[in-house]
Amino acid sequence: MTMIFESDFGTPASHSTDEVILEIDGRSITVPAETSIMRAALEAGIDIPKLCSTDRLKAFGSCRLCVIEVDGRNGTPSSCTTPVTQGMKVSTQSERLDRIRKGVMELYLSDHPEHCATGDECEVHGVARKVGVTSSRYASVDTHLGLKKDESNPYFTFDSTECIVCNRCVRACDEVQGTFALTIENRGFEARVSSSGTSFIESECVSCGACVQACPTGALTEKTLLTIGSPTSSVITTCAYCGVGCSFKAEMRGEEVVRMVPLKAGGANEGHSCVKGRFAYGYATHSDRITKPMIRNAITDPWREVSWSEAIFFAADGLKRIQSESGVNAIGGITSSRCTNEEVFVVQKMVRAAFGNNNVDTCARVCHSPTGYGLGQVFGTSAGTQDFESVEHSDVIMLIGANPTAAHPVFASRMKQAIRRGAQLIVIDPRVIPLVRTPGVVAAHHLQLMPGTNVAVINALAHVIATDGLISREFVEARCDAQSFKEWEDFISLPENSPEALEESSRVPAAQIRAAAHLFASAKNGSIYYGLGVTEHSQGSTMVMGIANLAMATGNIGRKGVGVNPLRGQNNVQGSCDMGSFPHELSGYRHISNPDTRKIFNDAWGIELQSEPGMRIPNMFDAAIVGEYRGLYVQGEDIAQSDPNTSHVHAALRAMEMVIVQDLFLNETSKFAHVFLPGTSFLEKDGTFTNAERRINRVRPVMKSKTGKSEFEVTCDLATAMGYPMSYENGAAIMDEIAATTPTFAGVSFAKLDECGSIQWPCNEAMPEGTPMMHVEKFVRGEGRFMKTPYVPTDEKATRKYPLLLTTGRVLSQYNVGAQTRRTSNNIWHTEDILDVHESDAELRGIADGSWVKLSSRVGETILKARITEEVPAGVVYTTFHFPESGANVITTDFSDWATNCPEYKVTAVEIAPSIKGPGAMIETHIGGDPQLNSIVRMANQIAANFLATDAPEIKVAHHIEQFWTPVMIERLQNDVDHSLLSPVVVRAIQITSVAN
Amino acid sequence: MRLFIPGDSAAISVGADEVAAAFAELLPDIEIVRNGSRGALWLETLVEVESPTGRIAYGPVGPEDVLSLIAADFLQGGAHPLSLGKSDEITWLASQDRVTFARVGIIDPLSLDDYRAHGGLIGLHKALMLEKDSIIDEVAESGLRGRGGAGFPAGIKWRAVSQTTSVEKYICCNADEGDSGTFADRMLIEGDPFTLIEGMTIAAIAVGATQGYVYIRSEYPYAISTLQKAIDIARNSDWLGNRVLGTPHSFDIQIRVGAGSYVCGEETAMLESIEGKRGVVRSKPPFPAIEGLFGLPTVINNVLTLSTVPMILAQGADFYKARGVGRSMGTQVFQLAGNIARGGIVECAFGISLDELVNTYGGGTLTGRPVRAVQIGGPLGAYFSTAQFETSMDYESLIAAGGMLGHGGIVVFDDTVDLAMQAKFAMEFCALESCGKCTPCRIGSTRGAETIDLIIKGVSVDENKKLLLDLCEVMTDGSLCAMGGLTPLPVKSAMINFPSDFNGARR
Repeated sequence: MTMIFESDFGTPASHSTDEVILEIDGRSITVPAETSIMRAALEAGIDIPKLCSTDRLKAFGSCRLCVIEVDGRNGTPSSCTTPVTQGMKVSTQSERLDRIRKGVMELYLSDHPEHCATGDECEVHGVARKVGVTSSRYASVDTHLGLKKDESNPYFTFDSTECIVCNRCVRACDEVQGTFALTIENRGFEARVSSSGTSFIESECVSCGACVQACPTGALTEKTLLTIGSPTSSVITTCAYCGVGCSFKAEMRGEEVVRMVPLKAGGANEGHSCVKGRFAYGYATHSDRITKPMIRNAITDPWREVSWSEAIFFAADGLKRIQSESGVNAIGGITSSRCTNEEVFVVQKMVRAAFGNNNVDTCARVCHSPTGYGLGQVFGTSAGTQDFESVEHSDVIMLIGANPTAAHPVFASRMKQAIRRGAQLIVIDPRVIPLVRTPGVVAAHHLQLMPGTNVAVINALAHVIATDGLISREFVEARCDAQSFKEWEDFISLPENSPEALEESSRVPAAQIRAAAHLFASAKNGSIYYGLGVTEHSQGSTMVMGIANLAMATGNIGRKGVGVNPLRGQNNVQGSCDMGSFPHELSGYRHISNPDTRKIFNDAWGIELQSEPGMRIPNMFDAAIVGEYRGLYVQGEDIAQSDPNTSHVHAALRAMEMVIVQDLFLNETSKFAHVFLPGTSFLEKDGTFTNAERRINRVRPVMKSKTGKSEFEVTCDLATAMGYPMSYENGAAIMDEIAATTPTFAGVSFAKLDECGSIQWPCNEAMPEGTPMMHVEKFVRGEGRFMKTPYVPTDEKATRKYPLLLTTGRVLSQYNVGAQTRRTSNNIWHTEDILDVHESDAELRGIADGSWVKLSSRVGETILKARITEEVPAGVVYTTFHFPESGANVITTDFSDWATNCPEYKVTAVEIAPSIKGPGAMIETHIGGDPQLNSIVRMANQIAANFLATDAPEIKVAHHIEQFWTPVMIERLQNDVDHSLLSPVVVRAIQITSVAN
Repeated sequence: MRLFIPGDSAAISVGADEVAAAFAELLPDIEIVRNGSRGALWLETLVEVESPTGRIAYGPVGPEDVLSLIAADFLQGGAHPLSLGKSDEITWLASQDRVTFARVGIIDPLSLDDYRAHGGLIGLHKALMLEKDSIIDEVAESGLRGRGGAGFPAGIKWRAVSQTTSVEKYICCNADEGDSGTFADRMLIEGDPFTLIEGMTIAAIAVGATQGYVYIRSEYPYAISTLQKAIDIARNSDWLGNRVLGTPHSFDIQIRVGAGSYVCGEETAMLESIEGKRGVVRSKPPFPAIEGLFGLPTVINNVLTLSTVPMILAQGADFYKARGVGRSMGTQVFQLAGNIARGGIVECAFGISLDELVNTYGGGTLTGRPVRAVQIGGPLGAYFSTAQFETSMDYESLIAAGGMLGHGGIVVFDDTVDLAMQAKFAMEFCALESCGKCTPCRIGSTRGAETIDLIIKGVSVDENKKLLLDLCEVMTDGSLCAMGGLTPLPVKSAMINFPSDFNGARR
């Protein structure tokens, strides 16, 4: 293996379409207008020495090495700051230029270590040699060689002695990251790079690594480079944290990762990174990693390390026994959005083919399933419409229920740069997220709504647009279904959807809604970005449809700068959904009931697929508690920590007899497991991830599997042991099967990905190079379909007993349940989950800043440390869920989205009280009665409430239930439920389904 | 009857406030006008009495002279050892050709009536009747060049800004007068602030700008306060604001105060500072005329440049360009400072000799010792020897003589000066004041000072002189702005004109 180098052309590429012809050193060169002379020369292979310029940053012109001469002009301008002009004649070499360059290098060397700790990593000596200088004649009385190193950051050092004050770090912090943590202190000879007067760790620095990346010397250096040594090989792969899906070069020395370097050619990140992807990969080699399979008969027994074959047969035996006793549907599996498309595809295949049922679901259930449902209904496909670059063309950005600076930092940087260039921002969030006001960014509007009232706000915005004549008639007439639009327009124009009518529930002043609606509707290009603050609600799907309606009504679909853009949580949420992980659909979002689709798989796999949907994750838990569901294969998801209403989840897991966990570490779920199958980290995987832009990126193994097996191999072994032989030579072979069975992936192969770098699906005969932007000419479903979105307040309401609403989120340094980040030095920034409380709520209860509080909901209680802040409004408390001991999900309830059962994490009625104890207390509430029946009643009534505004709601309810419920659940609804508990619409729907069956 | 006692900071520094207070106490019925200084600084505090035949001058007056002046009936022109006769007949003043400074020292700086009575606002009224391009034509035709030091033709700069299509443009006045031995900007602002406001208003109308900024160094508290008062008066008199003198034009001015950095007098660093950032030099292109303040087209001119514009509009381009020599047209406001007997403002047409300025106007050194060196154009200007005293004081001749005019400051040294120390000081000044952006200036200045120090100490003198000259070339050709680019000028001129100071042995 060799090192991969990316060329640096010194200044950013020009996007001009005009061409300029000039002459450099006698060669005629044609480049786009506004290109710098430096870039024109370097692209043509004419070398110009440089230190302060790099093509990720605007030209600066400080080092003065790149000076050139231009015929007919005085002086020696810097080539980085001088744009090309038609017919100009440039000389890059002359005696005078040579003298200047030597003189400059001599000055650099006069205040630079003779030997740099990072060797060739520091470009100073290399450039000096290139211009013909090896030492300095100056006496160098005053130098900065005695300055102390700043080693406060866990991942990189700042050694001012090597610093040449080129400002690249300062500019990267400004132009790439947008944090402004770095500056130059003092002036003249005393001008030094400074993390604004404090150490790096105490500064505003977010450790994105942009400065380290930009530094041409060893001044800012990864600590691993100093401890491990220079890399000897590199592999391009994809980060396994969030849904941005940044491309990295993993630079290796033997089997050890020296550093992860963001790839400039990476479509998603274009050379940028965040603290997680850039630095927090150490978990992959953490001593907690389990690398040998383990089994046990009972969850009270200790684990026993066994061979792979023993573990596989133990698991298969258990599953087969359950199926023989309780039927083929008594087991199932959960795929992971952290795993590759190939690994996910194989697990769902195992469930459908080897288990013989459709009881497969994915952890995307608990995050973005409403996106899939909602966008599918309106646009015809379950994915965001744009690529990330699109945001740079937006004039107005609406950001709903997302905190990108923490959760999608690399995309947040792009968004910040767009805002700094003049785009306006509308934030819809209960919290004062950083983008409401951060250096360089001030939101035009912050609609600070109460948790749970998203639909009220989106309806109010749409109402203003509809009733103030702001609808883009041209777009709607050309692109959307007229009937559905008419119905929607009538519905949304109802007075009940006006901002004034909804003000009381949302608490957003009507005037502010009106102003924001006008701003958005008046934008040339208006885009909407959203996160889990949209989906994780009882009306998550409704809200997604409301967003899609708004985009269509304002004509903001199908070009750059517009669109509906879910910010996906996990690295492969998009992919795991694409791969047929949902119980009701096969890969490429094709419903299981469709015989033509089933035939493709029946033929390919030589089986007969069940035609009805299998169980969703919460259905599995309910069924487990009533004893109908007894075996579960969990791929890389810690359901015991991350799923809501922990005591319910624990009860379900405890009720099962064969829980198989495939993961890197023992976790909360493995406490209830009988088989532990060690998994592989992203550094060992061979496959693909699909990010939030539908971009399929290659994940390449940079080291050998620590378990001796690839993860898909283990899945195949289990399927084989279950009696359905499965095997693949490699990840590429799995992708070939995906492509062969999935029309949207028809043109995808590892060979093509290696050639193109990445591909955005759909990629097929019609779009052989992939599809950066969707719905350009027409929607995937033909005409865009407006959906009525009645606001149905959640049943989770603030009460006298639980007067506050808890909502949850994430911080920058930790990732979800923290399984990875807690095993890295990222803990230095966030060591515990904190409960944010508004001053007035704290005062009322005598809670002091930093004191312990008991947080309780109707399902559980936990103890957290309080922080008094104005980032949450009165009546709302907020916490993160990165640490298992915090037990945030002990508090959350099993209420969920009416359409997809995505849990309502973002709204829980709670009370807080001062507490004397430290963290700990988790209360297991008794699970009594028939939870499955209770869920069925609740879900059915919820579905009915959301269809009430339509014609013949009972038909819609019946259809919905048939599409997404298992036959057993439908049967129980028909036969076991006391009809007096059901809404009349559900009762009528039951009659329809009964007739149909 | 009115008594004129300068409120100019130079006069205040030698006791003008105390003099004024003493007169006010003893002559409570006499109106005291705190005018600007007439620029004859060795005569401060210069007290003038209004009389039917003109003003009678007394000076330099200290507070201790007040009683004797009253006793001598000075209000009626009584004889007194400090009597200078009629102000207009003081040769030092009468022989000057004051255009830019025509009103300074004569009018009440904050009286708009006084301003109008002495020809103020005629230029603006004329401009308001002209097409934009005709205003620019007039300025271009006059030959007016940038008085900040670069000498770039003002008309060309204005035209570049005028031709941009931006809806918003700016006029920035550079009043960050940091050069050693210069004080003309300050004296003009303190003595005739409306002239600057008028000049900026004309510029705004000519290029289509609606907002002006004056960037004044914090070391000029009196100038800041006088100008602020003048701006307020102009706003309250329907001059500045939405309808400039009743026309559809809109223009207003804000003052931005510097924070003590010399390099913020460099135009792009000044823009950064006005924007609230560190005062760091920008690369050009883009030029400020195209992408200036907040990224928009911006006219940047010095106080003297803008303050000369009203007179050019009022009197016509021909009136102005009739003065001067060659491409250096009009008058230059020279400032005599350092070791000089008669320091102050000498405004006269370009082409006067250095000797006339230093010896005739300046009267030689204050110490009485022979003049040995003169630095022209601030800390980055060249050191001239007396052998060069016949040099014509204009842009081209000074460049030909290895120097530059700069902002017109002339600092005189007697024969005790050590030019090697002065050369070292030039490098030290650069090291202290460099913005720190480009390498030649940031590191070169410190290395330069260290190298000159070795020469002074006699260490490897020849090698270090060679090294110093090499460094000077790198700084001249390689620096981003004039700060580093011109620092070699005093160094090299000292080495060339005073070689004996660089032979390694102290004089």
